[in-house]
Order: sequence, then structure tokens, then C-alpha cells
Amino acid sequence: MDRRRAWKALVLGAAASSLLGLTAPVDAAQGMDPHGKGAVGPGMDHLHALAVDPRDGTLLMGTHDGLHRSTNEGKTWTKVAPEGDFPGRDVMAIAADPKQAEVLYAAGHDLGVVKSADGGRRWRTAGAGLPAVDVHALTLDPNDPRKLYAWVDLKGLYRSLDAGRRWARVDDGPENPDVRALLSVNIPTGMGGIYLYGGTSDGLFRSMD
Amino acid sequence: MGGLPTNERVNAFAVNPQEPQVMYVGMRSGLYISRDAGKTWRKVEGELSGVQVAAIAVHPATPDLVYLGTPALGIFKSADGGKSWRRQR
Repeated sequence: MDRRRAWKALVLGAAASSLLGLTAPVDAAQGMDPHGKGAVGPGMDHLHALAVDPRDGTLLMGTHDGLHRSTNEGKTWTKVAPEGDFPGRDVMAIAADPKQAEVLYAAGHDLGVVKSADGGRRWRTAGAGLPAVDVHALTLDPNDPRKLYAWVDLKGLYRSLDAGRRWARVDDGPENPDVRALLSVNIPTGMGGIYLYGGTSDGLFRSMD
Repeated sequence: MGGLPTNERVNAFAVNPQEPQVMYVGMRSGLYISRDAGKTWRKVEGELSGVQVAAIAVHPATPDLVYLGTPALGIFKSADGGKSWRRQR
């Protein structure tokens, strides 16, 4: 059974976008930027995740060098020393519970999934049932924040229905398995659910959740 | 208006939680915004043009407030849902 048929690419019009010049010239060096690569913040060269706390506007940034916090909208950063069980430092994703702002989840290359109930100070593991700790992307259902999705590199898409206590495999995910972003979006599918979007190295895909 | 580049990695994807048809995609070539649930996309020009966008955060309660994380230039902020951007420094 093809477990990928449910994912649809959202890259329509790409040829037109190239003709219209919407694709900027790309530097030959991967990841280089025409404005120069600068040390603008700790770990900023390898940042992958950003979240804003609706209670006070604090920004939390996930990088290959752990978590960093800013209380002045990103002008300066302080490295966070996570308390509790935070078994890695290579953060790829942060997902915040829209109904309980103090509840956060993080995931990463060496981290699996971890959860905080106090805005990111103290953490505990929340990845039981995942087949590996290399989790590239993470999201939660905005209508039911106990439902989480995680993309486990080389393993596929996993779902938890109980706020990260247990996980089960869903499918192989989009056709291009290099998923770097997952987002559960409150757009009705017409079939009783909402859409799950996946960002890959071949663009954006979506699937009924 | 057009589509998203096909040959580029989507580094980051975010939506306005109150109007989820407003979507933001961060790529190596910059930031792309759709206001029709992904049917059409516009690339953000100006200071952000050609700047790799690695992460995007939309304020959950005030979703016109959007932050971008760029490896080269740090954080950018928009207070009007992506119409204008200011580098944070």
C-alpha cells in the first residue's frame, strides 16, 4: 500500500514563479547569504525554531546549540540551561500549546520530544513510542492540543493523542521525506478534520490529518 | 503573485492562527507570504530579499506580530502581518 498518496504538493505555479523572477539568485555556497554571514546572536548560524510566549512576548529560539531566550524581541539573547530531562542540545522544532501558554514541546536531532509545563524552564521527555531520537519537526492540533505530530528522520510521521505520552506511526509522509517543518492548520478538509502541512526540500505538501 | 520555488527547501512554515489562510514560508531565498491558503504566494522584497529565513513565529494572541529568524541578520519583526519588516538590533 502506498502510504504517501494522501499527501498533495502545494508547489503549483512554481514554473510561473521562476518566470516572474520570484526566485532570488542563489549563492553558490549553500546557506550563504548575500548580506554576509554574521554572528548576530548565539547559535544564530544554526537556528531552526522560534516561538513567542503570548503572556509577555518572550522569544524562545531553538538552535544546534540549545535553547536561547530573548526578552527584548530578539535584540539580545541568553542561553537557557534547561532543568530536568533535556537529553540533547540540537533543537529543530518548538511547538506551543495555544490553549495553555505555559505548555511547550521541543524536538531535535538528538532530543526526541520533550515537554515543559512552565514555559520552557523545566523539561521532561515525551517521546515514548518513537523509534528514534532524531526528530526534525513537531506540531500540535490547534483544536485539540493533546494531538501531536512528529517527523522522525528516516522513520516517518508519528502521532500522539495524549500530549506526548505515547506515539504511534501514521505513514511515510510526503513524497520527499526530507521534512523540516510540520504544521497542523485549522483549515477544514471537508471530511471532518483539518490539514497537516509538511515543508520539505521540494516545497510544501499537505495531507488530511 | 506566483507559486513557491520547487527546488528549494522549506525551512519554516507558519500561519496566522486566527486567519489560517495567511501563511508564511521561510526558504533560503527569503520569505514567501500567501493570503489565500497557498493558492498564490508573494516573495517579500526589500531588506529581506535573498535573506535565508530559518524560523518563523506568529504571536498566538496578536497574530499580526510575526518574528523571523535569519542566520545572517538575526531577528526581523513585523507588526502588520508581514506587510513591513524591521530588523531587530
